[in-house]
Amino acid sequence: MTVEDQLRAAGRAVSEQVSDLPGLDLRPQPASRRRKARASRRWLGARGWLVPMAAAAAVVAVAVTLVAVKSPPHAADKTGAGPAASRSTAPSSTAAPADPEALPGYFVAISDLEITGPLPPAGQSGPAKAPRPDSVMVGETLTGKRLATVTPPTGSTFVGVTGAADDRTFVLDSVQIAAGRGFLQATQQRTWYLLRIRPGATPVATVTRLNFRVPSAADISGVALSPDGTKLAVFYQVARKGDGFPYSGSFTLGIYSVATGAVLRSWTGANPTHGALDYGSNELPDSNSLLTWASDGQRLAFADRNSIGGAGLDLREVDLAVPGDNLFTDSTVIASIAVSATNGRYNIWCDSLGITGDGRSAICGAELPKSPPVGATLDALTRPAPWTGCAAPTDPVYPGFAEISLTGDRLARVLYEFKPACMGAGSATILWSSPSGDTVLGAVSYTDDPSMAEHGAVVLYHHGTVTTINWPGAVSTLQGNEVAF
Amino acid sequence: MARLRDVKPLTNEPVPPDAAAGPADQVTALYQAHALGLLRLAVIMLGERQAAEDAVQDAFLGLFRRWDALNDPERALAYVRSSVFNGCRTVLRQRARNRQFALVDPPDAEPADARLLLGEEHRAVLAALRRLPDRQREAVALRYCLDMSVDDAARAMGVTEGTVKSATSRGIAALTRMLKGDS
Repeated sequence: MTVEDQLRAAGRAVSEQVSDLPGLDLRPQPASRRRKARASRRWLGARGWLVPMAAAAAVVAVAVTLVAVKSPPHAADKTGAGPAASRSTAPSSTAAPADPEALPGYFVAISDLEITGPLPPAGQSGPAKAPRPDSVMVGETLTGKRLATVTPPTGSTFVGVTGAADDRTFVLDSVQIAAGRGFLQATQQRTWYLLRIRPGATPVATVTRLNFRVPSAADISGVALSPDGTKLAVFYQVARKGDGFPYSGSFTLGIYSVATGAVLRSWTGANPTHGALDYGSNELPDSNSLLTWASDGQRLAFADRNSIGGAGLDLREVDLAVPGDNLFTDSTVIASIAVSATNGRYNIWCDSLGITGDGRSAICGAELPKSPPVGATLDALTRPAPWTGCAAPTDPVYPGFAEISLTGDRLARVLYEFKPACMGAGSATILWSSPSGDTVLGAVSYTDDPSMAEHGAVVLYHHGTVTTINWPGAVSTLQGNEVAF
Repeated sequence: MARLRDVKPLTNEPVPPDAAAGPADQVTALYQAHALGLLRLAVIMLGERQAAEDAVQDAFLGLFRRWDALNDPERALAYVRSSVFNGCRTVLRQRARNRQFALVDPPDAEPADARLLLGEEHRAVLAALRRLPDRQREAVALRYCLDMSVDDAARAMGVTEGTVKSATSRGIAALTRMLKGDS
């Protein structure tokens, strides 16, 4: 029986037993008195709890296998253009600037981030065991070959990575692993390290500690290194005292100097109807794919939910040349994806969303309609009903990548769409995009319906051709900040 | 004690506010429509009924107290659901602190009738579920224990669908690892 089946069975067992409800008592009284009153009722009604659990035990075991997508439907090389040129193939001694459109030759990735530690043995309680530390690997993009491994300092683990445009400069994000704490949280104090890779040299990678003074207990949801590697953007929210999720504190987008750690600019905004796409996440890893720089290093875009309940999604942009420090009034909405005003249905929803380096368009990793209407405005892109399994195949959605023109908010083109026969759930995450959006790396994953078999692949879109990348780690959970190119 | 088997639990459909009804009537109507689903969710989160009932009662009592300050009565369900999530988190953190200082684990101290009569296999998976980080635990509970769609779970949690998917995926991976280690 899979874990999912065990959970469903447990949920049914709970529902069988929890079928009655005490009356609502709106009189102010201590919880202890309410408990006492309920306890006396429960003794009287205890027989009602003796519900047979045979129904809960009748669960069909379904084997889950992890199968990599070997050859996605649109992977055939029809143009003969071959794989994208790799920046790393240029001789290092050549003075000519690297082609910004070329595929990065190297990646830096968290190898196996463990958020939660193991449980104590059955029947035993005791302090939670901490997650084991995770290193990062440096590898070749096209082959997945590991070139080097960077281990974290003692007592800490790497939790994220972001890269500059030179394919050589990266910033690593780490947190301490505390004894007795069973899992990692986004609000833990971060320590950053500058990683420089030098392929062919010894050592391949050098690591230097950085000093960014992000407020303690900040819930960080995005970190992005500027294209020139001199500035680090950090998007975070500081929870108010006693705050529960979703937090109600202000959001801040801060830009730090990599050289000195000083705050160069910051924008702060508190609006109860606004939140970053992953707002109040308190979760690792962060979603860096929602925070993107333009190639000029002057504009920075962040995704933002534009209403309570997450009904709409805005892509906002701040311009470093423009004064102002309010995150919302001093930023500009450059794309807006909302609920349809006419039929109340969701339009396309981007799991990840960022601007291209040239600032002309946005790349969206999404569940897309079966036949996306290229050229249509975003408010016309109605997402089908939420359930996507075989039982409702008439109007399905598929994971893929689309380019949105920021001139008129139109669907410019569909870069890739994977169409399995019966999909349970799918997701698509942008990992890297060239300045023009003509070369894109992304992770696509989906589950079969109803078997829940999980599939995933890192795909490379390059001028109309799609190939898969031989990725060395798990794809199904890959997020933007677990790998940088 | 009301029997509410026929009520659809934990839907995202708010009860249309009756402007003529007083706050007590409106909160009670909301309770009758949604409390059972919230109670099941809290029981899954906490593993025992008394604390779950407290979390749900406190949430509705808090809603009643703040009713006049509520900008939009149609947001009442979101408010109360968020309160239940927070109440469950508070209980779980208190338990974690108690464990850290070698105090008795509250669920073990409950009278036998307060605990659910769950089979060992269900107890094990729910115990593992409670060890997950907040977001993962809530996403997994909504998606699998309560069979909500990604869309509905996202609305219930007040997060995006992408967040639900990634939290669920990570939660399932962590649970698989935990349960394998446990066995």
